[in-house]
Amino acid sequence: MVQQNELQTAKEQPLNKLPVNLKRNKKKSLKFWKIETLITITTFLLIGIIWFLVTEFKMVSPLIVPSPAIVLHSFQEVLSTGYKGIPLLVHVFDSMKRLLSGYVLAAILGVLLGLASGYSSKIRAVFDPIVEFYQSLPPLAYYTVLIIWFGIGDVSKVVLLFLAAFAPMFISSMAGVKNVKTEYIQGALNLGANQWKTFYYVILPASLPFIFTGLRTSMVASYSTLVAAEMVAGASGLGWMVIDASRFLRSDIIFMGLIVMGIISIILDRTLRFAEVKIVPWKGKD
Amino acid sequence: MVQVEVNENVLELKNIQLAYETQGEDVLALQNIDLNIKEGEFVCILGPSGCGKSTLLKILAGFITPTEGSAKIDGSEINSIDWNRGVVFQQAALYPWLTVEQNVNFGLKMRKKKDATTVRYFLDKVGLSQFSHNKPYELSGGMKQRVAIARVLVNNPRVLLMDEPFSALDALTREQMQNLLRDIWRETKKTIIFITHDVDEALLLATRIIVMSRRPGRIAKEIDVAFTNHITTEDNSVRFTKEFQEVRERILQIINNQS
Repeated sequence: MVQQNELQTAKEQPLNKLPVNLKRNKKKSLKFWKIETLITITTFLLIGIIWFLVTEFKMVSPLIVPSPAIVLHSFQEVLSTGYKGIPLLVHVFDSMKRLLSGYVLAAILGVLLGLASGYSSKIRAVFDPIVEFYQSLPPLAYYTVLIIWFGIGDVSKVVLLFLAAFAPMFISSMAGVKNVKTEYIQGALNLGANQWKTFYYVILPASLPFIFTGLRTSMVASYSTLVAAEMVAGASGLGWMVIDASRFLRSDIIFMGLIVMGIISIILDRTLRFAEVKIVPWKGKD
Repeated sequence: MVQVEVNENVLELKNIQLAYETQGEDVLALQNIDLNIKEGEFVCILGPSGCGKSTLLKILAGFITPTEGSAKIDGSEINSIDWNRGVVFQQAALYPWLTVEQNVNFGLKMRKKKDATTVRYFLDKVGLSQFSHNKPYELSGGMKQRVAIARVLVNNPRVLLMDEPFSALDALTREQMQNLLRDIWRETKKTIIFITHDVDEALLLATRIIVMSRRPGRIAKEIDVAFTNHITTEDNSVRFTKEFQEVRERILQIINNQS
């Protein structure tokens, strides 16, 4: 009897332990004020102070580095009256419209074709070589062709962003399917799933971590392509604003534009990371 | 005249041979495997690593087809993957996007069957009712394997194929899992083929032990044992008997004499 009791407690111990572990994990994510966060904030404060001091004591010309106050002022000005008659929010809106149209199209098609190519070697034989060829080209190189085909307006930009975002999307979705554990697939078939159900209920969710890597990589790719494209050709947008300001030596506008671009890119990436944590909570724990 | 064949064998392997090619060379993994398994048997296939015992299980599961010979279940050739031969892998391979309960229900869902009672019954059987809404990555290794066993059992398969399912577990958990599996076997009277490299595990579970030789994998010896029938959760003293030790020695000798 004694032996039996021992066995039972031994059996129950790991079961009781578990909820504690779960709580601990939750706490970890809530802990925001880590020492590292403090260091990061201090670093940014220091950069700000140096920036302030350098400009306050006129160590460099304001044309090269405008003071924080001037940049802040031009931010307020562009926000209310606009740059060359176009308010900042309209620039941001124009840029985002182009970015998201190309990006969403690329995400849908890239994921679908990538998954299909990962699954079937015959579909892969069609799309993989094309992607492999054009993804090595700098987007601005084929932008020239796109301008000839689609004009200088938004269409050529959306197509350009679509292409820039499509390649990483396609490649990671394809890798996602190829990296699904054999046991996952064999297990599904063994439990009574057919090929189609195995794809839908197992291969697709198992590829999600890779798909999210693709979503984030292609966001970076299309965002940087967007700014470059607006610089080459355009009459609105953040990229255009910055390049236009440089022609008139408006360093304050350039600095302001760069900071806004950086903040937007952080917001975009954080949004995707947030979605990733919500949709693929098992990533890295498996 | 229709000839009625009386066949009590669930699984029949005849002259199974498996060769595969690596770096331009043919490697013979399995050779001359003849094996008949009757209903309700608990067969442990024992052998050193690389002897092809997992390959043999994959043939039974239908994951691979043998180069030569035939593998039959209830008289018909095994030529595809089928829920009738439920496989428990070495690593549980549960789906991390599903809860424990959804994992157990997976087979029924794929087969368009609804049976919440069976799902609950087997979750309870493996002692995981209170974790039905947890995700697999929140469980310990032993608990994961419990889910993997429950997930196969809900399908009520003809045979259970187990590929070293407890080898990654710690000694204490392993013993609990062995007891659990023995209880399930007694209750469901399922035919079980269990791959292991652990002699004690084979002796504690099997009604028949198949000892395999090193590559090319062949059946070196078949031994009928019955220790498992004398073991209960409270009493496993049979493992300290002289007879148990003698059979153990004999098996170790067979394995060691090959190299």
